[in-house]
Amino acid sequence: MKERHILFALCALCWTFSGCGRGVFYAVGTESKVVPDPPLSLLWERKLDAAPMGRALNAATLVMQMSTGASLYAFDPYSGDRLGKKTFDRGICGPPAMVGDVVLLGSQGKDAALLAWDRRLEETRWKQAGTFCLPPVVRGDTLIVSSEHGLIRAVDFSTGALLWERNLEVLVRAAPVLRGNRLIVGDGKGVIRGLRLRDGEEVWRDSVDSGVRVRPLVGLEHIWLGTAAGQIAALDGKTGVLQWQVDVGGLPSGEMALTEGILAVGSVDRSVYGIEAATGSVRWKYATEGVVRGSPAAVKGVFYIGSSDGYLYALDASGGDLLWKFRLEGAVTEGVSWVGETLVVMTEKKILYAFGRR
Amino acid sequence: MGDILSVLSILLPLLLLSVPLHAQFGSFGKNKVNFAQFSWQKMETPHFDVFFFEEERELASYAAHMAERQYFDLEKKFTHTVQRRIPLIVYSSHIYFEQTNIIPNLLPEGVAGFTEYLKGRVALPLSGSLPDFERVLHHELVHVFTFDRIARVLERHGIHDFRPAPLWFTEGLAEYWSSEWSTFGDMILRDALFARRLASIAQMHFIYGTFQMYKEGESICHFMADRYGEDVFEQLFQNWWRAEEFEDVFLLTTGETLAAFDEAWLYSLRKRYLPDIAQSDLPSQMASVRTGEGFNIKPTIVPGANDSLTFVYFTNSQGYTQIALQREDEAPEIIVAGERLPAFESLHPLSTTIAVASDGKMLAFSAKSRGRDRLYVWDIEEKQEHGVLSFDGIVAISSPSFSPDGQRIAFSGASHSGFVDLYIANLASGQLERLTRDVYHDRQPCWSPDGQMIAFSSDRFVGGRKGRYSLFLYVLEGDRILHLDQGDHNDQSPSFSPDGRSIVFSSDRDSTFNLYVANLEEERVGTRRLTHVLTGAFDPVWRADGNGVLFSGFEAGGFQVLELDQLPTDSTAVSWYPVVEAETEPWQLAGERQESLFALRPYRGDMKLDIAQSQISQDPQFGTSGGIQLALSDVLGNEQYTFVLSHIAGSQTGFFDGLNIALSRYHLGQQLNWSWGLFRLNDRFSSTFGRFVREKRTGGFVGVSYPFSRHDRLETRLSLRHSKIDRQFEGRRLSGWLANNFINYTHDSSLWLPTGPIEGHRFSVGLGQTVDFKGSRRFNTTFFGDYRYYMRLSQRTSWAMRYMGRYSMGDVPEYFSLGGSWTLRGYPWRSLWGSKMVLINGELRFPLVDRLVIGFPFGAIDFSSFRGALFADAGNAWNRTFDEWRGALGAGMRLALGGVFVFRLDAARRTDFKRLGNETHWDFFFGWDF
Repeated sequence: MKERHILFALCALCWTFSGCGRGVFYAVGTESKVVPDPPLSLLWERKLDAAPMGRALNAATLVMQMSTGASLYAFDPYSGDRLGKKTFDRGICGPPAMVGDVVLLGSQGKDAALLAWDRRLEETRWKQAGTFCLPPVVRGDTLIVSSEHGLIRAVDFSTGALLWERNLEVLVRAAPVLRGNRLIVGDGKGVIRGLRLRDGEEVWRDSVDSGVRVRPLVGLEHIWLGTAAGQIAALDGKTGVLQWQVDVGGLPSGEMALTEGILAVGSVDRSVYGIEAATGSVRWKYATEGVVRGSPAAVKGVFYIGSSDGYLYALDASGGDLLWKFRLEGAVTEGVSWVGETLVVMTEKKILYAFGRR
Repeated sequence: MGDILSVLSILLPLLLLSVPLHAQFGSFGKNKVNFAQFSWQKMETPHFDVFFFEEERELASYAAHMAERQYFDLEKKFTHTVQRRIPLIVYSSHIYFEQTNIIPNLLPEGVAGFTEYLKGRVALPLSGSLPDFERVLHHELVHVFTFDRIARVLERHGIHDFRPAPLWFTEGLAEYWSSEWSTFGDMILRDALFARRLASIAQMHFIYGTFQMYKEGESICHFMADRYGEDVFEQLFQNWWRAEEFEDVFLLTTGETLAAFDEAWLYSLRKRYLPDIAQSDLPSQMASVRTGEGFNIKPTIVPGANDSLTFVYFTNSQGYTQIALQREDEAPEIIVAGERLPAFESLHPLSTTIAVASDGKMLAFSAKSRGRDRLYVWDIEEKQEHGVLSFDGIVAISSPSFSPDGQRIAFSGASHSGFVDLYIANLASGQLERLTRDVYHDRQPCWSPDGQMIAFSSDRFVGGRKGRYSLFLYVLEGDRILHLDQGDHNDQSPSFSPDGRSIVFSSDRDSTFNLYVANLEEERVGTRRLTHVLTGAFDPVWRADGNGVLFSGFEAGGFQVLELDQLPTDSTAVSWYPVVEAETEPWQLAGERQESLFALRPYRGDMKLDIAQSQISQDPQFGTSGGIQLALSDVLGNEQYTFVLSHIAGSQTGFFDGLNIALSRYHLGQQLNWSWGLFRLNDRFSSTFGRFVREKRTGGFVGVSYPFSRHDRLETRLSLRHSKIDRQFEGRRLSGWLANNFINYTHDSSLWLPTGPIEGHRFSVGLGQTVDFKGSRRFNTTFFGDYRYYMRLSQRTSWAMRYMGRYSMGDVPEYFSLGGSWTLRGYPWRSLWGSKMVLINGELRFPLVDRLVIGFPFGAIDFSSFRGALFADAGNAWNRTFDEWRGALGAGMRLALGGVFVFRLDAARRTDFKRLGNETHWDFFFGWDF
């Protein structure tokens, strides 16, 4: 207990407190590697101004949650104290991402831009004009931003200067990922491209039966992704050649999680699927009472995932057995996150829940 | 003042429901009559509350299972869970469905189901075909999910104004996700393309709400899925919050403008359908058109002594559906006038045919009358009823067919359970014989010339589960059913040739409904194609001499009866099939045996909120005004409450003085509708005496309305109130307890255009009396009469007449007003007052512009009807002696904006019927024509 208190001690500059207007978006500490086993205890719950926009961000010592009301909240993961709230004056159009101190936010409308917002200084470092609503990825100083209409840009992360641009001229529904020095992009037609990170040139391509809808997950040997037709597919990580495809009964959830060789993904058929990552065989299927749209989080052989039936589930990765579940107020449609030792999930009723060990 | 009026405009309709004084005589309008009484129950499934009555329990169980199955399908498609229970109300017949009180509108026969958004209710009837029922249910549930998905997405992003989808998109998506693309879809689009009637997305307002809009919308959704992927719809809904206009959401989602997509879709249709002209023709190019104006369908040959062609058919050339007789080289003659009288509320032209006896003297048809179908036998020459049959267990009747001796009639009948079977009725005894008894949709029976067999179309084969129909023969000796052919297509409307060796029928086996002939042999049937039409050929019947076929052909958006006199020779390819015994039970109702899974409960009629709204306004003269209104009803809409609370606080009145409260209760579940209410009103907008007065009224009322049929009703209402008027009237200050009662009879069989009636007639006569209850003094007795007649001169032109009179006598008579666009034109609004009143209007109504679209400055605004009028008015109001007739002559224009919002501009010159005045009086107002 003492260790946790030290872990989340706020820095001396944290002069603000909950509800005072300006917020603290920066804290120091060391991320814990000790996550509790289920069953978990409810640590706290907080009502936010609007529904979640993406899953909570792991800011090491803070829980950061974006809302559809364009507000970014910061909470103490253990006590639930609100440490900050920043409301942006523009329409945020997609889930935020965080790289170090910088929160990256896509906005839409007349002055659409990707904002690089420094949470320490609480100011915008730079803007990249355009509607980039898919979560960006970064490698070193290179930040990759992408639009739903297939425009991909590499920008200098420090300055926002454009490095290269490539227009695929096709819809892109799932955010790209990086594997080594390759950018993996799956498009709305089902074509998966491996682009060279330094200049955006295409190195390989393969295709699946329908549009890519699940953000690819990169492993040592494979790249896994999900499609609009309800398939999970695995490509060879180096060559991009399709290895296997398996049906998950409908549109998969936005992201997958991997632990102990098992991929977990939610589906609109109300189930969570456990798939052997190497072979593609469905190891187990766990049925909930609602559409599973939120992405799972995996840790220590356990998948945590929320369903629109209003439950948070903990499932054993090896056999899909229910280890624990908790009734929430409202449907879960966004992903679950671990922030240190705290599991965070938010419902459509605007309530942010934190679970852990008391 | 404007704000006051806006408050009143919301509250007044409900206030008027409660207040009997000024609206004491019933208004016009057709009736929704609850002829049938049911004991309703509720079946609870995981996501639905299914409401049904005992006779349709099997159907309800089927609906419950189908609804659950479709719920899971739609949950996947929308990636969305509807977080509420969905009320599903099932009716075993369209006739019962038309009696629903869930929505107040009268439901035409073309409405296959509806989703109501206040309580999220879905209501639908069984039309006979279970697969079709399933499709309609699926269609309506798409609406439920669409509405809920959009609402939740907007709510999630803090947007409180609902942003509805364009109707073509919601209906198109509902069609797309509820069924496969059909032959009918091809027919509608191909015809629209060749007739240059295809509406682009930008022109969709031209076909708003039509079947063509549904099919074009479905085609657009198919094209969207092909172009952007099946998940484009899910993405579209997910992005719904990101822009206010559908076009912008579309652009955000697809990366393409709606205009560019529109072009691409139209191009794809041309590419798909234009080549078809090389292989096929429009019906009018390959057969002789035998009918003219309007929709003309379902011909039946009238056999005669000579070889001339005589046939009967359904026509709506004059608006109403009627049965016409067409003799060769003569003008058509209407022999049965439908939809005007209680006996022929509907002739069901879409679902039934007309039968003619072999001697050519009698015809038989089914018609809806007083809550059920009856079978009418009609003398063609005399044009009058020869006999009428109705059957206890049968609600709906269709497609009668005479036996060769004319003594019996085979028909397709729907029982209370909703399932449709074949029956034979003996005309002399009225006895009924049931031929089939199962869940299959047995329809369109046709008796063979030798009397041994009845050919019919049915879904009683494996393909029937998918909604396909095939042809069967019912062999009367031995009660065997033989199957003529089966495949993944629809065979329908069989008709025997005069020699009994062939059957002509309509089939979409080659992707378009064409005519085919089946030659019957001992154990096989040979089928050959007769036509290659671009659009569709239906309802074929042989000429009496066997040398030609009459049929209904679809072209340019309508149907005509055509004659195919050059039948292809036998060299046309013939496909042979074995004639086999029909399977006894080719498919079953899914879930029928799982009924026990669902909880059954008696119907409790819990009241839930329909409307709750409030408004507050500030006015320099009247001060603060505001009010709330609430409406509650049960799921079936049979029991309703309305509650109005408003306050019009003036600077000179206290709080209680300005308070208006009214509570009304309506019981609509039976043929006898009754209501009661309590009110406490202090309104200053009363103008009974020709000026604004203030009357405090406190009391209650009881009302009864008894509709005899869709067109006729008797109403009466009794009210008791304490009345206090704030001004002196003829030297007296009026105050006291008043009892008021009235009775009136109303008939309405008028047919409407968007601006008002165009054909038919309506009248209302009544008598009312107001008595000072305490002093036993008669305040007034009032007589009322109003007769209106609309004579159609052409399809869209008519001559309208109105004769209206009111006469009130007693110590405190009622006063009536004249003047303005609704009564006596050329005179200012309510400028003539009196306790007696007479009014005569004559008006020629004609079209000016069919459709007016204004593109500036707000984008396209579509006005559906722009019409003109020439009129002559005469009338006056007086107290003691009638002095003179006042009149006016003039012209006007009408512009329909939707509903009651019809803009009216009249220019009139007064006349004393000797000369015409020089001054032109202009009147700009709104409302329907009289």
